Amino acid sequence: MKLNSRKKKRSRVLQTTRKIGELIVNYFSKAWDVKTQDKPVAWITVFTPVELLYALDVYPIAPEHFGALCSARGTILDYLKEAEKEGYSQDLCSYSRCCLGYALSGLNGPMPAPDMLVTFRNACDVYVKWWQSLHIHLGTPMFIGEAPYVLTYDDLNNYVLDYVVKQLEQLIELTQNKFGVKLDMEKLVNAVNLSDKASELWLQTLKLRRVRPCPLGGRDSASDIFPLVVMQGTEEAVEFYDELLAEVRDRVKRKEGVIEKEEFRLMFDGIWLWHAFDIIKYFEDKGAVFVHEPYSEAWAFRLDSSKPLESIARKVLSMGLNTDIDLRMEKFADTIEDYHIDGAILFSNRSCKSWSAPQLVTAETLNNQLNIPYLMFEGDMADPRQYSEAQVKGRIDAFMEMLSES
Amino acid sequence: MYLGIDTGASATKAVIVDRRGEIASQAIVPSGVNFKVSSEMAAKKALDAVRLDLEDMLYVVSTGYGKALVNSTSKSSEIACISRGVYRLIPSARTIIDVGGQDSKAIRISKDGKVLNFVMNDKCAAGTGRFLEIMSNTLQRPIEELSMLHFKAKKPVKMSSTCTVFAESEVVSQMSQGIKIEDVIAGLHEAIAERIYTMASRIGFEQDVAFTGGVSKNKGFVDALRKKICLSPVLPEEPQIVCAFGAALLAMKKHKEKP
Amino acid sequence: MQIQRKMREFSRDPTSLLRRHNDGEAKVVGYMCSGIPEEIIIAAGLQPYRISNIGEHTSSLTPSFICPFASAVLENILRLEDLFQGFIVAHTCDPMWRIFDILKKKVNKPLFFLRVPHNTKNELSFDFMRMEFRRLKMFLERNFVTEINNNSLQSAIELCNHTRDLLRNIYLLNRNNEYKVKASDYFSLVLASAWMSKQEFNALVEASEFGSGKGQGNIRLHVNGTAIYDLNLITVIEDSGGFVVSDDLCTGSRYFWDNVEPSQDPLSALTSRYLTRTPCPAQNPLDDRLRYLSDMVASFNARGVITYAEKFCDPILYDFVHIRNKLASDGIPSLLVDYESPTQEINRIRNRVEAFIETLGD
Repeated sequence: MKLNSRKKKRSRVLQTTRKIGELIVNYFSKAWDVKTQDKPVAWITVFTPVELLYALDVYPIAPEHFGALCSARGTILDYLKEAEKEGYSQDLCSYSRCCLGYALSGLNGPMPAPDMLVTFRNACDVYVKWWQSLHIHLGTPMFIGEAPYVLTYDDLNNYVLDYVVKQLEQLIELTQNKFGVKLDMEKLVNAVNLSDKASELWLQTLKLRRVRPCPLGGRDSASDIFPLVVMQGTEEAVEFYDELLAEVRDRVKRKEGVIEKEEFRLMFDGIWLWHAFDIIKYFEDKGAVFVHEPYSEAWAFRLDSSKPLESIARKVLSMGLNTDIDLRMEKFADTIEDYHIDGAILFSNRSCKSWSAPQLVTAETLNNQLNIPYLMFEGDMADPRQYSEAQVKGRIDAFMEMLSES
Repeated sequence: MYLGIDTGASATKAVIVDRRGEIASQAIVPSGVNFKVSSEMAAKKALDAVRLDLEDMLYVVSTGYGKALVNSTSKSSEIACISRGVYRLIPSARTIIDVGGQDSKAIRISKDGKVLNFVMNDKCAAGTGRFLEIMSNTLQRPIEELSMLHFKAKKPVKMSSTCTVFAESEVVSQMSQGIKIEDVIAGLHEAIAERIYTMASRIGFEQDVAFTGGVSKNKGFVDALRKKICLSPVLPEEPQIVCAFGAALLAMKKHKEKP
Repeated sequence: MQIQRKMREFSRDPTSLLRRHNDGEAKVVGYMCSGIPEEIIIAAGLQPYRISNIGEHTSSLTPSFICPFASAVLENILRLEDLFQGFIVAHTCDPMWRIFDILKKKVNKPLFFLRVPHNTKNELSFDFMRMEFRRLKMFLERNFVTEINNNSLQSAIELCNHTRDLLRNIYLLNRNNEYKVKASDYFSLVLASAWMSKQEFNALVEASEFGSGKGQGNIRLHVNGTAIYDLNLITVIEDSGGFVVSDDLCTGSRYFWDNVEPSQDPLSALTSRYLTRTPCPAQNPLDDRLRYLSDMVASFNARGVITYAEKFCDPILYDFVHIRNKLASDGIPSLLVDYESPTQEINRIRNRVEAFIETLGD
């Protein structure tokens, strides 16, 4: 049977997912409210402890998220070109080029100018170079923290943890001195509790994707992470995940899946292609649903409000890419079993060298040890110029044909 | 008389100037694989036209990738030669954009013709003549034809990719979707123009802007670049020989400086 | 000069030295980064050996858009694994970090990952780095059944300091508008010092004379970049009439410029030295690096700066924008040349270098 002659299958996005657009609008309008009230705004990288910033009355904005948003909305090219004109190579991370272009072209858009730049080197070293560049272009005060690579779980309790906790204390002190604010312990405990709650709800929701048919697909998970990315520690985030879990539970009860006839269950390894989001639908039209992504899980972390700083430090340390490859592979193995995964899609992302560099070894592990067929394709998460739709779709066709024959 | 030889990636050019620096003769031959052979051929062709021998040349300057293989009095970079050539032909030019087979360059010169700054393409082939050659192969049409088809375009496609490899598969896919070839061509020209514009922006544009290099003979591409930089460029009559002409002028200058 | 010729031979085929170490039954530990404390390896009675990208064969285990240097280093490690007893990888940039991931899956020799702090100025970095150096010491002791004590560390420090003094003294010969040592000779000397035993190297250099050369031209240049093993990148400058008088390369002054200060606690002394050494492109703050570069250019009277960048090298490609702007404000022109394989692209590189040097000569 030829796959492309099949009738397209209906696939559904969750009602709750549709609320993300509104949350994003509110999030940016709040940023401007904060700015007009002369309260500080911080630009952060996404694995920076926002709970701490909320407790310090600093409003966090993540340019990475902005890059994804611009890419999805088709407005990214002007920013990219602006950065390239300044001399930033097309081979550099597209999120960073978007952000630098935005900064260089006068900060006209949804992100208000930062009063502070905060990052923790955990997902990649690009964070350091990118933040340094912003610091030079904008002259804004900067805090670069670092979370050493977690080689064994011991590192979450030994001098490595200490090092991160002390850096968090430095960040608190710097912010307090800079803006004349005081860390509100009550607020911190509250934010940590809310963040933990949102994480718990999201992890529960993700667990439900083990069910056949899978109730929540890639188009949902890619959007639904937003509140966890930048709004951890807020009531809104918890409300959102409460509602989402309820809807997904309801789907499970009604045995309703993302697609009508679920034939293949896939894992997606990588950051989504924001400018070519329709490839998720392309898979769904072929009867394949994404049931797991390390990227979706990366944002959730359980926190203990009785030890807020230690707990936050562990979270900063143990984000996915910052834990040893063997630990990551163990997790892969468990996931593949628990989620009944038939195949893996590995996105070799030109912008995320940290993720992509060891991916061929990941693929080998999948194929040889876990017996999971995979498809790897190259492109860029945000820069549409470094992606060939025709080429990628051709490969997807071939891969799906292979899966259906096995 | 003075001879300038420019050994480019796709063509070798020879220009002879008289003692006043006026072009006496010129020749263009394909570079092939052997610069020594192609440079001798180009020189012979230019010399024959004015019935002279190599011995009659007071000074010879070679430039371009194969310059070391050319039998010349001295060698010089393309940046210096192009700047000199343009300064003579278009004295008002302050910015030069030269697009050749393998390299593209943007040069800023002062009002007395001195090189102030320059920038060249990075390792990627996207902003060079090579890109057009590959596309011309993909489309199986000669570049000259593609150049004119450009003007028939009604709705140039937006090439989403400027990576040579990706663009190739994109072109194939567009053609298979029945998009008109002229719209694809115009899209390609715009994509290269965009790439060059970004590169040149790093040193900035100052009027007048001169376009040189073999690819400037491609009217379609020139049209796209003109629209992109929003400035009216000045084109020398024969943009491909500007570098060889500059080399000949340098030969004249060096000969006069000789003790 | 005999020593130069010898060094050049080594730099063309460092594997011969590696085999010689093996023949002499030295236990060789491979590393890549100039930020690895060789002293600790030497104190363990082991032979440190700097692994290069020579051959420029990129590994099929990395994607096409990863720094070709890191990929070729990976390939060399996998190819030459048998000649090593262990490897030390430093967390400098993303590709080096991830090469550790790949090696972990691919090599069977003891493997150590040194978590180098990126913040050189943060007061917390010292304690953390010292703990990492301690962990390295324990790793070597455990895997090679040896003991590293203060005495062995002190003598390793003295030995390495002596190598640094020798290299620095030769380097300084090109200061003050003089050009007495040819840069390509000079860099092959630095490379050899990272491949040979320090004792042998020191003895060879002490027995030789340097500084008889006399430069003709006046285009003095500074070279900026990371690790350069293909000395054609230097000779191409010399052939075009330029004189490399200073650098901040991982295979140049960044490797040897700073000595270890004597101290009662050698591990702390090493920590200070490696934390505050010549600024590295992967570290923070960038202001220090820009200032250092600008000072270096001024004190060696360089008239221009050539930045060599491996394609896809994040640290250099971000920095270049700021380096160019900073140098421009000092009135110093700069050129960026990117490449994937210097050997294959030498003409393209020459083309740019020549044009740049010509502009400086005008």
